[in-house]
Amino acid sequence: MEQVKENSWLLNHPKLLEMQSYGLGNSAQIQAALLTYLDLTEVKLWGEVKVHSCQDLKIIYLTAREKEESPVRVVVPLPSTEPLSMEHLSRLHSATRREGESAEGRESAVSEEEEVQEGVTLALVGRDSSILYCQMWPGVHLPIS
Amino acid sequence: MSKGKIQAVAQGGVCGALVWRAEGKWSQRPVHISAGEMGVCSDVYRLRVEWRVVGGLVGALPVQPRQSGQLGLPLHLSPEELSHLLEKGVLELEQETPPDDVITREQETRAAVFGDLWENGFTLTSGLKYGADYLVYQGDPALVHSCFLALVLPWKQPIATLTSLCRVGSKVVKALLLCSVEKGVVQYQTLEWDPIL
Repeated sequence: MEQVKENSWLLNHPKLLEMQSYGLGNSAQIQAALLTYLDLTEVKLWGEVKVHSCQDLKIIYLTAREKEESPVRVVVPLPSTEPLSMEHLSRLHSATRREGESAEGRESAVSEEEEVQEGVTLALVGRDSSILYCQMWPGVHLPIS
Repeated sequence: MSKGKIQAVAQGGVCGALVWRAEGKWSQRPVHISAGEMGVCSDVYRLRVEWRVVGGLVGALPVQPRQSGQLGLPLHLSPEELSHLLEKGVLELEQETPPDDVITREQETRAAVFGDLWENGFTLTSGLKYGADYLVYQGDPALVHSCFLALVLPWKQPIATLTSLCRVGSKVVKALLLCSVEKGVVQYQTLEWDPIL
């Protein structure tokens, strides 16, 4: 009897195949990106969740809207097993707003007409697939309250 | 109000310095800094109010020695606070012990971060209780809560504790401030747990 491969449906997920098609070679970060994509679309029910690649930093990142009228947010999935340095974190802001490649072809991550929320959202994905979301701003960002 | 430079006793190596004087003369009388204290001629008070350097009282109170909730003189100044006050010409070292000849890059980075945040109007104290390097306040620590946990990091070193520090920060309602120096310029990244997500 052929053994059922429980995870085969996930390995053939169209978004995973899309992320792998960019050829970045970072399987841990791609796995974190897929889990974040599924969390945003299936659990948080965010809209317009799009996949983008950043060749500079060799990462997959996402753009999405919480609600229809909300500004676009840049979400960067990061596996907890591959911590970044201050140097890499400081490059995330500019790298994810430059022209990036998406499935629809080479285009800007966000168009100039769209309202983009300041900073980036880091999705820190643990070994147990739990996700911690942190908002990151460049410089000293004073609390609103 | 006493004028002139504040006298401190230097401790060798990276231990900083101790300030003993209160009310214009060497004193072992109990000194407790509290909010609303006015008109006290105390070097410890001057450091806090005029120079936004809090330090840490490390001595036992003679009237209440068997407790550590309230401490008295001397005031301990960290190496960053000491170098900052010497640079500003506020301190006069009463007794010098030979300092370490080698200043590490970490010490240089910490001093640069301390000085830059101080110049931007913040008050800094030790962040040891929260696993960070500094607690950063927008006012006197006796009057306001800190708004940041500051972590001083090498520019190119991976940050292994980012997840745990974000969780600590969210629990104690403080943002995480990552600080580093790159080409002589202090760089910051502010992280805050996202309540929406």
